[in-house]
Order: sequence, then structure tokens, then C-alpha cells
Amino acid sequence: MEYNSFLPEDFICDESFQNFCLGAVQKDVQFWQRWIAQNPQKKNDVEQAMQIVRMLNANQGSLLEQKSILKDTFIRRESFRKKVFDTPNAKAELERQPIVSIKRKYFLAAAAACAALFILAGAYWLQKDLSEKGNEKEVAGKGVYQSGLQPRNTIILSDGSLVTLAKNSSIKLGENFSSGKRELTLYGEAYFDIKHDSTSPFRVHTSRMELVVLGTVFSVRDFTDSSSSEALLISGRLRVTSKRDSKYMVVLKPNESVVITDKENKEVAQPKAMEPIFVAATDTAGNKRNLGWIHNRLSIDDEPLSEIAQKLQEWYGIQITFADESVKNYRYSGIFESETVVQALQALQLSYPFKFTSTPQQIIITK
Amino acid sequence: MDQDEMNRALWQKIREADQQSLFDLYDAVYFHLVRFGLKIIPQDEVVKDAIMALFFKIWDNRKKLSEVSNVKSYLFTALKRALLDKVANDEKVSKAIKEYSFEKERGEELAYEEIIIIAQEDELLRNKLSLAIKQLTPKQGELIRLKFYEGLSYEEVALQTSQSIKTAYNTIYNAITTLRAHLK
Repeated sequence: MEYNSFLPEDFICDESFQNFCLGAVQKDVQFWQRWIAQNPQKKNDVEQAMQIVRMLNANQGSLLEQKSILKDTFIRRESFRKKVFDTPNAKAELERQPIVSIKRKYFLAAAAACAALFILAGAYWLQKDLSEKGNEKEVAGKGVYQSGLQPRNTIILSDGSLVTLAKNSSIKLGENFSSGKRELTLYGEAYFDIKHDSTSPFRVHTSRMELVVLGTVFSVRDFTDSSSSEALLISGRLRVTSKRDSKYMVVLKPNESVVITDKENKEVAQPKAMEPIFVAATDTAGNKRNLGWIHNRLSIDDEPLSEIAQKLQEWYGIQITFADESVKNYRYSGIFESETVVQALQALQLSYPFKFTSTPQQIIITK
Repeated sequence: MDQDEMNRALWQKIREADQQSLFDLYDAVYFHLVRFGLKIIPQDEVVKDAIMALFFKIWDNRKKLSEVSNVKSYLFTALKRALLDKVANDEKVSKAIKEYSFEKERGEELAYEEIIIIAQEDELLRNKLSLAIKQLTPKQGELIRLKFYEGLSYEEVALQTSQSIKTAYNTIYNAITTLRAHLK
């Protein structure tokens, strides 16, 4: 099918395109997400077409999106309940929680309870609403990884470092990355957990900054359409240099951040000390929000590894597969707040051992 | 196993606290519920929220759920009840309902054309769409409804309207061209 010569009418009348708009068929959703990313020249036509399809179906919405909101909310609700009812008395309370009968008058109470929980998750939802989540990662070229509309996308680099991309972000690896020259360029926002290697510094380029790191955890935000860039250090040491003038240089200590704006002078502000940034998802105050997209809470309660893997997969945006069926039934409990996907798996290994290996976009679990 | 039997089986597993079955049931009934809900309140966010709340309620109640012979119509009834409660308790919504269907008996279903027009938030777009829809022949309008609202395949549309798939496709294509010309 020659989609390139399609008019908006053709897209609208195409059955697979309609399925994509409704999020009804996974295969079609994946196909069109990729096609749209690869054909930016048709963006305008596609958007017009999507608008009309939505109009004609009265905004029925996307099944995939709605379901992922439903699932996410279940997870959040569970962890919220644990938090609220985390005393022995309250546990008993939870056991005989007000069960809503089919009678109408009680339903409103239940609806109100739901509404409160929705608000708690609100900050995350806002992001979620705008995104059309697909399980497929877009690989636009060699050494390029993009998150597209996924809220998080985790990549494991050949040196063992971890990069989690925020929405609409991408990284491009330097040509000799795999042979030991650890260098990459970031567009957008990402969270880095860099493998320590004192012989080989790790460099990150953005439009306004150059960062040189030894084993460290940090986050960088640099969207070309915004007027400033920000780097925030969580652990280790990080040297940040302005691209515009290399004499503006600063070495960050943990919990410090630096902002470079497009304004003249004072490109590099003095790093200002920040409060500890490992915060709960419900805390949306000011600068703590910086890492909200990555530090939400993921709670697991006596679940088989197969289901946990599914959650981790959706949570971190990296594919997790099993090479051994028997491992799937191992059961675990735990709450993850600030861990990377690898740390989460390592924590699980402690209570019931299994092995895992990784490729850039996949983690394989074995016995 | 047909869809009704499948839904019954899922319902049974939900009663046995299997959360995956809840999500599978959601997959099976989501679009049916949205379409049904929009006929009562043509505001997609209200309907989607109510569906989500309904599924939370089912899950919370799983231990007390009784056996249900027709799961879909049970869910329809529960959703309708929730939406009508919402109408009674939500001034904004009840005002919207008054505005658009004051003469209508409560509970009577809205027509497709009304639903898609009211569902548009933007007033300018709403007026344009209202005019554009009037340009369609009754046949075109019917086919657009089956294709985009009911979500039928071209094959199903053709079967239901006793014509060839090609004719059905062409009728819809021409209708879309007309709509787009008037929406510009």
C-alpha cells in the first residue's frame, strides 16, 4: 500500500488507520506509530485525518490508552492503600472495607473515593493523557534511540550504563561508543545511571551543555524548543560546561542542579543546593517535580515474576522476556520508588535468585 | 465459545479474584460501553470516567458479585444508572443535558448526529460539523454511523446494508470528501 500518496480522505477511510485511532488493534497501532514517525512530511495530513475520525466516532478514545490508565490506577491505588492502611488496625479495617452494594445510593460514595485517588495520581496522568503508548520502540537509525510518545523508555548501553528517556526525547550514540569512547548526544530529557570506569570518562552533549562524568546518576533536560537546559546530579560527580563559552564551567555535587539559559551573561548560575530529590509520586512541590516522571512508585504484592516483568516492562519502557518458563512462577513482594530497572531486578534476585542478561532494548530472564 | 459465554467465563474468574480477567473483560466491552454511554451523555470524558469507576467498583465488589447471565447488559444497566446518578448530582452535566435534550424523555437515546455534534467541545467546530452533516444524504449518514461510530468493518457495513464492499467504501469516501469540504 502506497501510503505516501494518501490524502487525508484516504487515511480516514483506511480500516487499519481507523483501528489505530481507536487503539483497538495493537498491530495497527504499532504500525501507524512507526509510519508517522518515519514520514514527518505527512504529519499534517495524518493529524487532519485523526481529527475527523475522532469527530465521527464521538471521541470514543483509544482502548489501549484507556486500559493502560486503568492498569496504572490500579497499581497506584494499591500502593496508596498500603500507605494509608499501613497499621495493624487499619489492615483489619481494609479487610472489611465498605463494600459497595448494587444499591444506587452507595455507588456515589464509591465514585467519590475513586475521584480522590485519581487526583493523587493527577500529575502523572496529565502526562499520560497526552501520550499514545506503544510497546514498540522506534529505532530511527544506528545508535539512535527515541522515546516518542512513551512516558519512559529505558536503554541499556553496551558499557552497562542505563539511560531512561522522558517523552519526546532521544539520544544518539557517538560513532565509537561500542569500542570504548563513551560519548552521546541528548535531545530532550533523560535520566542517566552511568557505569563507573575511571579510565574512560562518559560525555553527554546537549545543545547548550557538555557534561563529563565518572560513575554517577544524574538527569538532564534540554529541549531545543525551551529556552534553558538543566542538569541535576543525584550521586557521584558531574562537570558541566556551557557550549557557548567553555569558561563557564561548574562541578556539581550530589543534589545540586545547574541551569543554563539562552539569556546573555551569567550563562552558568552558581549551583544551588537542592532538597533531596527521592520523593514520593504524590509530592508535586516545585523543584522536586523534576524527576517525577521517573520516580513514581511501583508496588508489587506477592505476584509471580511473569506479572512483575510485565509491570516493569510497562513502567520502564524496556522489553523483558523469559528464556526459562519455570522462573515465571517465582513470587515476590516489594515497592520500587527510585530504582532503575536493573536495580529493581537485582533487588528481586536477592530474595529468590534468577539470572538476567540484557541487550540495548531487551532484558532476558533465565534460571 | 461466543462472546457472551466468554464474558460469563471472565465474570466468573473476576469473582475468583483474577485481575487479568477484569482487563480482558474491559477489552471485550469497552467500545460497547462507550457507545452506549454516549447515547445517554454525549460527553466522552464523563462516560470514560464512569466506565473506569464501574470497573473499580466491580473489582472492589468481586467477593460479593453474584452470577450474571448476560454480562454485557448487566454492565449497560450499571453504567446507565451511574450516568443518570451523575446527571442528577452534577450541575454542569445536568445543565448540558437540559440545553441539548430538554424535551427528550430522560433515558431516551440520542441520535448519532446529535451525539457527534454535542461531543465537540469547540463551538465553532460544532457549528461547522452541524452544517456539514446536513450535506450528507441519509444513506451516507447511515454508512458513516455504522463505520465510524459502531466500528463495523467495510465487510460488515456492506452485509448490513445489502451492497458490495466497493460501493460501501465509495459511498463513505464521498461522504468524507463532502464533510471535509464543509469543515475547512
